[in-house]
Parts: sequence; C-alpha cells; structure tokens
Amino acid sequence: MIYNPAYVRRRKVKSLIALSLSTLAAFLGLFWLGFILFDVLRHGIEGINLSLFLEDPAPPGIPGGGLRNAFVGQLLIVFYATIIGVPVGLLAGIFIAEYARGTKFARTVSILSDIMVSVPSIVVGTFIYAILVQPVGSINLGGLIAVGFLSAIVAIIFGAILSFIVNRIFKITSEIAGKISNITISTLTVLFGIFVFLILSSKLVDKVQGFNGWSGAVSLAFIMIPVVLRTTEDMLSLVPWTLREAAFALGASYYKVIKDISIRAAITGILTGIILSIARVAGETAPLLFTSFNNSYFTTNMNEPMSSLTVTIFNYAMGPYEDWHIKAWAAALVITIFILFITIVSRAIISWRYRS
Amino acid sequence: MTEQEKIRVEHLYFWYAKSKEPALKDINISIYEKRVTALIGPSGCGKTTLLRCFNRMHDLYPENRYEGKILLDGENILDKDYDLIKLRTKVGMVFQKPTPFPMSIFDNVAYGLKLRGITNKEELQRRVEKALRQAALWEEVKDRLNQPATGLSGGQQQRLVIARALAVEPEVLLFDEPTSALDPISTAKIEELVVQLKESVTILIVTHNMQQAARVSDYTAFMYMGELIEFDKTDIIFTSPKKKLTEDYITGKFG
Repeated sequence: MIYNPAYVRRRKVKSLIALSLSTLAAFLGLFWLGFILFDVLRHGIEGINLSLFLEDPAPPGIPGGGLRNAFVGQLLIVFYATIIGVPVGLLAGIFIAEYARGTKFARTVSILSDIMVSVPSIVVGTFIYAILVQPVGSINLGGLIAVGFLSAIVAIIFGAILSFIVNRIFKITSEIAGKISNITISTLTVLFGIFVFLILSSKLVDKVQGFNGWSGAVSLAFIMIPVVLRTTEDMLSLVPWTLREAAFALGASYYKVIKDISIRAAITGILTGIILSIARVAGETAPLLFTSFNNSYFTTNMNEPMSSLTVTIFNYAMGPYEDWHIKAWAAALVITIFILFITIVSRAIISWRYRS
Repeated sequence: MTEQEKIRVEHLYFWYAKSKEPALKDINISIYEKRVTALIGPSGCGKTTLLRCFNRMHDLYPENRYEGKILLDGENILDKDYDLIKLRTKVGMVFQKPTPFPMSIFDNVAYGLKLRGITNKEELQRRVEKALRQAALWEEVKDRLNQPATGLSGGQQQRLVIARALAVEPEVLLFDEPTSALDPISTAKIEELVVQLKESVTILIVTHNMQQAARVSDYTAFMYMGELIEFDKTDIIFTSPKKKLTEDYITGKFG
C-alpha cells in the first residue's frame, strides 16, 4: 500500500482552503445582492401608496402626485418591444437552427447576434435615435424603413395565403403551370406590398417625428432580438436530430416537423428565453434616454415622447427635491419586483415542465 | 412457397455529400414480400446507408447522390418525381434509439394518421388501438394514453414507435438496429414482434447481432465495404455461405 500521511494531510488542507475561498466568494456576492434588495425595499417602501400608481406627477417642488404616466409608458414600451422583438427573434432563431442549419449564413448570423447581445445598450439607443428620431430633411427615414418592413411582412403573409388557396383550388401538377402560378403569385405579392407601403407611409410616417414611444419600443426590441434568437437557436439545436428524422420518416413536411416536433420539444427553453429577454429590457434606461425620452404628462400615444420608469428614476434621483428621491426609490422597488417576478415565473415554468 | 418480389434494387450507387468514394457500390438485391430480410456486416459497411435509401432519408441532406434504381412495386423510387410523402407512407422506419415525440402516447401513434388528414375521432381511436395492439403495447398503456410518451421505458418507447409506424399501414418497414439500445427482455419482445409482423408487412432489418439475424430473418444480406457480398436464405448464409468473406464474418474471424 502506498500511503503517505503527510501528503494526504497536505491535500486535505488544500481542499479545505479551496472550499473556504469559494464559499466566501459566493457569500460575498449574495451579501451585496441581499444588501441592494434590502436597501431598495427599505427606501422604496416609504413611497409606495395608491396615488403613486393612480396619479400623474405634480409640478416640480410640490409634494404629492404619482408616476402613473411612467408606469403606463413603461408597460406600453415593453409591450410593443415584445410584440416587435419576440416574433423576429423567434422566427430568425427557427430559420437559423432549422432551415439554414449548418450553413455559413447561419453561423454568421449566430456570431453577429452574439456580438449584438454584448453591444452596450446606449449604442442601440443612439442608432435608433439616428434612424427613427432624428428626421432626415422633412422625411422620417427610419419611419419609412419601419413601414417598409411592416409592408413586406404583410405582403409575405398575403402571398403565403394566396399560394395556399391557389394550390388548394387548382392542384397544380405540371411544371409549366407551377411556374406560371409562381410568377403570378409573386407579382401580385409585390404589388400588394407596394400598395400597403404607400397607404401606411402616407398615413403614418410624417406623424412620427422627434422623440416618440415607438422608437423606445424599437430600441428595446433591438436588444431583445439577438437574445431571443440565440436562445431559440440553442434550444432547437438541443433537440436530437433523430427525432426530426422520425417525423420525416412518417411523411411529415419540414414545416410540420418544426411546428409539431422541434418547437414542442424545445418550448420550455424558448419560453424561458423570451421571458428573460423581457426581464432584460424592462430595466434598460440608456436606450430610452434619447428615443422615447420623457414626458411629464400622461399619454398612451406612441407617436409622442413617452415617460418610462427607468428614465424617470434617473431624472428623479438626480433632481433637487426630496419628494422626487422618495418617488425614485419607490419606482426602483416596483421595477425590481417586476423583474424578480418575471424571473421567478420563468424558473417556475422550467421546474413545472421538467416535473411533468 | 412462391416468393413475391416487393423491392428490386438495380445497380445502386450512393455518394454522401462531398465524398468522391461511393458509400454503396453496385448493389443488386431483391426484397421479398412479407419476408424478413436482415442486413448484416461490420461497422461502416453501408448497411444503414442502404436501409436509408429505401425511404430516401438521405434526401434530407443536400448533395447526397444516388445512381441506379430501386423498384418498389415496379416503380423507381429514386425518380425525381416520385412523391416522397407517398414513399414514406408505403415505407415506415424504426430507428436505433427510441424516438417518442414530445406529446402523449395517443398523439404519438395518431401523428402519422393526422398527417394523412384523418381527423375523425372515432377512426383515430380505432386505428391507434389497433396499432398499439399490433405492437403488443396496448395492455400496458391503455389506461394512460394521455400521458407523455417520454415516461415509458426504453423498450416500451421502441414498441410505441413501432405502433406509430404501423398505424399508417405501411407495406414495408425498415428497422435500423432496433434493439441495440434495449435490454434482453425488451429485445426478445421486439424480435417476437418482428416475426409476427411479417404476416402483413415486408421487413428489412439492420442488425449488428448475428444471432438476431439468424432468429428473425428469412433472408440475409452480408455487406462489406459498401458492397453486397452475399445474399441468400438465412439458413444458407449461416450454414453454408458461398463466399469466404461471409464465412469469416459469420464465424467471427473479423468484424
């Protein structure tokens, strides 16, 4: 038997040191987290009352009033950011992980989104400022781009429905008829897209100028897209390929395989990614500073400057009035609880899913 | 006993994407109706590659290439115009590892039926029960059809997958080493099932296990380095093979 008591003792001491150091580091991290949460709670609880949620801000220096405008603005901006960001991120993630799996294009998009995830959020804000807030001459270039995208999506849906109907009615089998119907459908789709673009741009674009709620929502969406894209891609890549082959072997089309097999198998992870991306943007200030800006008045019009909790916290905390400071703490508490709640919900989804 | 030819393979070559060397070289073989044909050979000999030609699974990957003919009921399934959905309706497949879909036991079996436009509840129920009975799984799962299929044991999952393939009433069933991930008892059940199923379907089975090939198959094809070395009735292959290579493999001299 090779047994050296002194050596074994040395090893045990080393192990003990490593254990103590890592435990200490963990507690240090936890301590500050607890400290921050406790501090926010201690200061914030003071300002929490019904009028905080139900009343609009009082004029500067006069106590009273609430932050209804900021709560509603925050919810609207995050809501529209989700509406814009999640579908784009989700569909792009599906495209990258499924249809374009293993191609150079897919890898490039993947790496680019990794870079986008780590772009400082204020850079996203500046970018959106340049294309959506600052008007180019008398035309809002960003608005045109946004409307262009929107019309393209509407046209694609139109084209898909059209081709579905044509295929159902005519049951095209010959190659020439197929080509003719393809060309016709494509032409109609493009024309329809142009039509939608003209109508939307005449109605919308010139009204969206200067700081506005939409630009805030789009900034946040820009931050969400790569997060949702990457989680969707990763989660779909974890689904074993043989599962898809089994569905193909039953005669399923790729769309059916994605819808019924891949997404179903990865849904927990995808949902979690979406929820966490909402939590991620809900606490962002920088991208809103010069996009949705701020508004002391209550508004639900996304074409106007819009107040948000995070920007309000920033302004109120910097302000000279004691009452503002209390309100800033209260707003910080509310947003912290909101994000905590979202995170806990996503955890609950995971554990519920894996239990059943 | 007259043998009816179900599939005939003529001068089949197959190349994987970006590979100059064909993975299958000049394969000629007849698969007889309602018989079990085993494909044996050492790892990398092309037996799974050949199996996956019969439902054109290789088409999932771009740039894979076939040459030659596979005639199923006289029609060349390698023809560009041959409808893949029709092919995969006629030819079902069971994989090495159980592949239950992330849905209930019932929905798993009903999946192929729904893909074929069957929506009538009673018909679905009837066909699902029939398929599960055929796969000898009905008694074990009839009380928990709505529970997720992933909760079944490995052997049950594999029988579920067989039931799923049977539900759409295929004429040919491909088994790709169906028991290599299973314990001996589950393996015995699957083998028993394979023997029963040949009353109604033509079966091709890839196996590493020579005893299994001897137990379940009527015909055996021995493959080596992408070529079909010998094909004959199973008892002939195992008792008096004509080629030296086959004999060496059967007796365990290599492989």
